[in-house]
Amino acid sequence: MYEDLLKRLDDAYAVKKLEEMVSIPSVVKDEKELAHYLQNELDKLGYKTELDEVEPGRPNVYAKLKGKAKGKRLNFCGHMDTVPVVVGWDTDPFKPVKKGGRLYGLGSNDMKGGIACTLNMLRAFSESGHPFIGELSFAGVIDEEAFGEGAKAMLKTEYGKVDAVVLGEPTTAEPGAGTPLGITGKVLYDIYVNGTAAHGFSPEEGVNAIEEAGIILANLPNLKFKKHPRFGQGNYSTLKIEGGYTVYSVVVPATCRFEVNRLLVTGETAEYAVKDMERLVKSLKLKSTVQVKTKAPLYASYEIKRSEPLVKVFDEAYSEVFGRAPEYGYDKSITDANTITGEGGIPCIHLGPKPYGTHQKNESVELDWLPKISKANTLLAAKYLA
Amino acid sequence: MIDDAMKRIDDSYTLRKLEEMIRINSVVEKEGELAEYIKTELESLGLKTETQMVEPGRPNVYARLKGDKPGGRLNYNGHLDTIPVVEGWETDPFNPVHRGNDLVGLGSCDMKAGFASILTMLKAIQDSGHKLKGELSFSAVIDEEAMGEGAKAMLKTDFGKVNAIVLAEPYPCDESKPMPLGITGKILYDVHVHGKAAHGFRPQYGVNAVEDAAKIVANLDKLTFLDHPDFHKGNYSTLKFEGGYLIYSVVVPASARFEVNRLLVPGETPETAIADMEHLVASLNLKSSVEVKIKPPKYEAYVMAKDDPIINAFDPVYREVMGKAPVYQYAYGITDANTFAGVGKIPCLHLGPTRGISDPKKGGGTHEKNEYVDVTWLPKVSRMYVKIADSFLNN
Repeated sequence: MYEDLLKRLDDAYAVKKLEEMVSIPSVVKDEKELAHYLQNELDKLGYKTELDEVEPGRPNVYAKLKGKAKGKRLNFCGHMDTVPVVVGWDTDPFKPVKKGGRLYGLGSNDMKGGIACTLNMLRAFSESGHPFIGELSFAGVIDEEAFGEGAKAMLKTEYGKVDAVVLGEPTTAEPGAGTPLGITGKVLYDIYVNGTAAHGFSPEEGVNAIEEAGIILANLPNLKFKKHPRFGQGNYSTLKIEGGYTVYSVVVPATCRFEVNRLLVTGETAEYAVKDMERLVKSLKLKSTVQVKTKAPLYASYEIKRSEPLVKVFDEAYSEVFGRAPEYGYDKSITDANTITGEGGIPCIHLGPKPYGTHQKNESVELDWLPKISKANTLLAAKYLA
Repeated sequence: MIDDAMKRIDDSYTLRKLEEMIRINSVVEKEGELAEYIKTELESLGLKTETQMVEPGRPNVYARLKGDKPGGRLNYNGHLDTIPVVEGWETDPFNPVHRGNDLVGLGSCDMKAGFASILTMLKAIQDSGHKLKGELSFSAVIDEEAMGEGAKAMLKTDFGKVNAIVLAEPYPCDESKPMPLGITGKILYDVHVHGKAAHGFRPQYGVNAVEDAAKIVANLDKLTFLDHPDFHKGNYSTLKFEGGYLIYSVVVPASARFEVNRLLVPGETPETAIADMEHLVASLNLKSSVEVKIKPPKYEAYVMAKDDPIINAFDPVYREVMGKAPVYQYAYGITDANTFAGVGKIPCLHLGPTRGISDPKKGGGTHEKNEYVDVTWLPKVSRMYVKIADSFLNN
């Protein structure tokens, strides 16, 4: 079944698109060139495209293909941005390199690999003229690696009312890497520590805001993480600290600020998290005054049911391609699903090719996963829009 | 005669010069304009000046009064620079404001008042024609508040061979700020922590350099401090801490850096201090790798004998003018004496006006917002300077 579609899948095309996309730098904030590339590609494939400027110079790109008759609307969504280049790459992060069955480059798995598999599927649909019911669409969104503004903007368009979304993040649904039926929420603590300045040679006359911030950081393991039956516990990671002189002078620093990312399980709200941090700070009996604020972005956790139609279709498609049922899980990894499902109420499935070194140097994607994901995407779309 | 010089002390000149100098912004790195002012003033008093361009646009200024009989060489020294403007000034820091006996302004106490008193002394000696043996000289150096490059440069000149130096820093030599018979050394630790990047939602796969650095900072009280018979223990103060994303992204920070000022007592060296920090770091069993470096400036500790000739000149003068005995101490606060005495082996006297009383909300002390100097001190300081110069050089 669906042979007409499957025989139109082109592995070489997927690899070529991936290489082209890796070669277009799209570090978060600089998605424009890649958006234009995708619009151009989808125009060539015969999709109806449009660009939607979310912020000046930062457009989302949308493409749709209408089926034989009105029906369900399925969207394949992917973020166009990558994280910035981290230190230590062995090769140029923007020059795709094939080695040992993998393709190396910034964004190769997160998530240009996924977009390449989606393009492969979309091409198969338009070239084959396969008859389907409803609407098949694509959304390339900005800003997933920062504030999720692209996904939020998508919810305000016609694509904010689709029936289901497939996100091409590098989630393989293998044992140990289940595809999420739910994702944690997230809050970004923004903590201000206020001490007292003094001459640095008489530190006892001041209150060193940096040293007291250090005490809070060293005690973060004492935050209270609730235990959720499916999510387990949340976690934290300090992302930034700044404090001290701008021009060198020996002055006890009166202020220090740091940010801590915290993932929240269902049952933990942003208010809970703030009160938890305030309790921790109070217990340390510091001399400084401390303000516990939060900073954007803030995300709600969500869960979808195993019995959701999208999940059932995904289950079938995945099993056909991989010869086994997919693994499901409850994830700690914020994606655009926190917005699309958490805020928008649209069920999401994550499926993408096997990743190595996501957000690290020498990020790569396993090349023989590209045909499998392309096939799974195709069967999923065909079955959902049957 | 010395009394002629004493009669020529012009206290209103002192105040005028002090106000003019406060108006000149000489925040560290921008000493050029004040140097030019002082050079002009010295020349108008009839002294020959010399300029030493320590760094482009940043000169030391020197002047000397040679006596016609051979003798010792005594230098009166001050630093041209002030610290930068800190937050919270209630008035314009460069506009001197009188508030009762207090004159408010950046550098008023630290240390333009000292310069004003030195100039008053030189003017009084010039105007009176009082003769001194040997050589009385003046030096104004750059960069004391930062790297001490001015003092280091002075040691390379002829003035690096004087017999004693009077630093006009705000040391009233009483209980509030005793006269240092020795000063601690200092290093600036520059600690680099290297972890491992990972996705910030999976911190267990990375090594958070900021969190590991914070553990070190939270445990600095476990450094080992030698208990010196005169100095007792040194101290530390974290001055800066940075690490994490430049553009927001959820990445476990792979590197962090912090700086800690540490005062050293005699017996502690930069080498022992580095080993001490490395030992502390090792004891914390961090997953990050840590490099313990130091960053300039570093200073040597020094001590002097209680009966050093400059002290012998100073002590009776202080008793006479102030009506009480001076108080001595083994001090913590780095001054250019760490270079002059610690490196140059020149005995140093610190003498100047008292410091502003530090208010927790309003500041007022040196290196604080709303810095001020009690101007009733200046006439006493000027008189002590004249008598000390006479006592040291003519006896």
